[in-house]
Amino acid sequence: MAKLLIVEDNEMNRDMLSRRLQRRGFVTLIATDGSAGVATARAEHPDLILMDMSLPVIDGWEATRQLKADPATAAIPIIALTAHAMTSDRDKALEAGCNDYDTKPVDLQRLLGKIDTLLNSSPPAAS
Amino acid sequence: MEKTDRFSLPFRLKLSLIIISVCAVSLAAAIGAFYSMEVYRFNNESYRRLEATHALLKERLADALARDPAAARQVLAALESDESVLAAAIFSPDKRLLARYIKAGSNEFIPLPQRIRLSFSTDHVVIFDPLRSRDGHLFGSFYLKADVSKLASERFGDLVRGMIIIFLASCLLAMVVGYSLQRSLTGPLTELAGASRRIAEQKDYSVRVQERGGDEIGTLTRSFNLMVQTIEQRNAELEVARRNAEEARESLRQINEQLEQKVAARTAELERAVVAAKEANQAKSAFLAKMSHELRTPMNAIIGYSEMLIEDASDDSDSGVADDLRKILSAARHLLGLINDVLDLSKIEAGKMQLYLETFDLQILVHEVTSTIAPLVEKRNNQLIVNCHPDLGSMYGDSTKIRQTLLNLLSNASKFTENGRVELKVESEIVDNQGWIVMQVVDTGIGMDEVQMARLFKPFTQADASTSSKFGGTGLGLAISKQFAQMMGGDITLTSAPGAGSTFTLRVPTRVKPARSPYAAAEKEQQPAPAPKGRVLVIDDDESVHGVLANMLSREGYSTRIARDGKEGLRIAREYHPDIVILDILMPGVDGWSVLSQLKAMPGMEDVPIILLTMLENKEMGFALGAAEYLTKPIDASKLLPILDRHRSTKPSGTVLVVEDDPPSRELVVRMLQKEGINVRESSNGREAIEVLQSGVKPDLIILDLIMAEMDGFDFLRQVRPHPEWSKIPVVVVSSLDLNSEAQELLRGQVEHIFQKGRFAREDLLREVRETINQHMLKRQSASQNPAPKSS
Repeated sequence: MAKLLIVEDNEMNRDMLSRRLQRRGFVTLIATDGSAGVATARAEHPDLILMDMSLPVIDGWEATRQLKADPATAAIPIIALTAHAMTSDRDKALEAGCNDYDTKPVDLQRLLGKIDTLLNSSPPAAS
Repeated sequence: MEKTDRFSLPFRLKLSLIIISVCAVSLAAAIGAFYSMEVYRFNNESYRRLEATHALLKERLADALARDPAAARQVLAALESDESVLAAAIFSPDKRLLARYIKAGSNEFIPLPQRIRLSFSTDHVVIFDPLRSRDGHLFGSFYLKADVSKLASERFGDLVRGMIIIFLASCLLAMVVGYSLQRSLTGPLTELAGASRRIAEQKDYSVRVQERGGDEIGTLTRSFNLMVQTIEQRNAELEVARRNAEEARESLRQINEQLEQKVAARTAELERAVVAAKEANQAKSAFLAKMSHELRTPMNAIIGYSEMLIEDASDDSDSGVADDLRKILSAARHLLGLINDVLDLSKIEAGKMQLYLETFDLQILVHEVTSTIAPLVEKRNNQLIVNCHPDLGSMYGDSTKIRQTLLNLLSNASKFTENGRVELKVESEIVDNQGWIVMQVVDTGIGMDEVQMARLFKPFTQADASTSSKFGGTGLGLAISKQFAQMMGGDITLTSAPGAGSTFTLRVPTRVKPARSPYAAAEKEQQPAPAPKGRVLVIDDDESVHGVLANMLSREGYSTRIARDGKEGLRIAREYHPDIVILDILMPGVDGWSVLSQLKAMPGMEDVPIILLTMLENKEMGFALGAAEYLTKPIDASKLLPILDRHRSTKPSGTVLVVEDDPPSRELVVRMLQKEGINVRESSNGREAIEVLQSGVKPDLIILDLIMAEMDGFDFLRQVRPHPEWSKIPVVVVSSLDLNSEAQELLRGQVEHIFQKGRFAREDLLREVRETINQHMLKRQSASQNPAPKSS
């Protein structure tokens, strides 16, 4: 049973996402801002992180960078959830260290596919 | 106290002094004259008296002497009674002193007889007189000295005293009289002077001097008065004018002030308006952004929860609830679509819709789009066919908008087609040297008639009113798609017929240019003006030739000058330095042959090809004189142009190294370059190219293919990089390889431009080559003029 950390400040999005993922059999952890996300990731070592990019305290880019810079958490795959679909946003996310990205509003099937891929692939080599 | 010159005295005093001086002088002269006269008279008188005495004495003496000398002596002694006689003496004819008399108490002596009979001095009179008897017998001479001084001084003392008194009295009188008389003169003058001073000091121009008399002073006074009057009037006028000027200035100043205030007020208004406009604009942007976010957020929640509830309900096999929830979900999705479309249109209309341009891979986009639309297509039992040209590669544009547009077209196609076919065809084409991506959505659906087609792209109108209820959709999608297409410089066109399906064609440039405004129509890429191929001088007297040649030459990109006769031709040749001369032989004035020789003889013109254009047939003469070519009139463009081309540039414009393994491709590029007068070195792979460089050739540009045997383009570049002189040479890649971003990254920094075979127009490559060569040659020139400092 994979442990997913959802870092999302919007209550409804958070609720929807966590409940639907729980139905799919995931254990979900919640963080409501960037710095809480980093702290929770360090404490709980989830198998994958779903990171909303626009977060209070510190935003998703910064949180991702911090996590990827910390050897303890660098191996955790991160899927960025962005509101825009532009290539530059995609690039920005990948540059920050995200392993993949998806657009909001979330298409669950698509997201599940990406989660599946990342969980089942071997730990990514340090880039 | 008036400042007077030290040496200038008041006028009155001067006048008085003059009068006194005149009097004094006259008096002095008179008195002097009188005095002299008196002196003279006195002397005369004295003398006469003396003469009388003397005559008497002489007589008596003569008598006495006749008797006896002692008697003479007695006579002399009788002189004692005359006080004034100082000394007397008688001499014999032989100058012997016979008798003498000296006054008691006086220091006198008897001098020897002198010849001078009578002499006067201030104090004395001296007489020497011969004594003769009545009958002329000379007895001797007689000496007499008398003292006149006492008497004289007495007399003169009185005289002088009297004169002094008279003098002084007269002077005084003169002064008094003069003083009172001179008043009549000096009075007016003094008055004038006073008036002038008063005017000067107090600026009182009302002062006048009383006019008296008709003499010069009167004239002066009158003129003075007139002058002052004039000054007074002029002053008054000036005063009036000054006051007017003052008033004018004052009103001007006030007007200025008012204007300034108005301007300031207006400026403040404008500033406020600008600020307000800016704020309004920002507010609009903020509103749109906010609405976008605010509207979508609850929609996402509705959709998300609905989906979740559907899952729950499905799990619980509560199909009734699930169906209802699906309806909710469907409505929510539709609403979200509407919201998105409305927001898009608002943004477009507000001028806030922007293009986000990037390079992206077309095939990936197509794949994404088709995967997304596939379920919808299948839902209506349609077949989705994708026909994507394999060599599409990437394009530079707004991927999001293109995606949205394609989804819109495909969803429309699938909505209006049942049990049919929906095909997406994507190709690229080149039109007028510009690359285009053409995406066609072809369906076998219900089609549209003319009326429906006309209404189609307008927002909020679907083909007909019932469409949205039957077929769904917002009616906005096509309007938005068309706007997007046009923003990118392309367009959406449509063909359709009722019952025969529809074809929507989206065309966008392969390289989208940022639009000037969101509503900018497609801008045709400007053709850069071709660099003038050369300067041509045409010497011909025939006007029709001018027109024809000028047209032809400028169309071909030559810069032309025309001369009407030989003389003008020679002059223009000197100034213009043409690269080619077209010369008519038969001209009036200087004949063409002579012009030909003179042109050839001009310094700097020796290498310039001269093309003879004439009706004559005299080739040998022409060539003998140095003509490069010989053409007969009438002019045949097809003959002239190749000749011009051939002779155009005698100096090669740059060297290009072509590295290409495929012979036909290589030959194509080589020929193209040579035609432009560029020196070309060929090599069929990287290794050969390195050899060429090693042999010392310094090309200005390298045209590099990537896929080659022995050493490919990447390796070649790697070999070149460590060598500073080689790595500076600009490289243009011409390759069939569709480069992914990694490859592009590799090449970036080393390569000026990448052309894809089959994708570029000849002109593009040529232009790139030209520009790069020019730049490189310029750099080289400046580098040779300013040698770089030696690296350590």
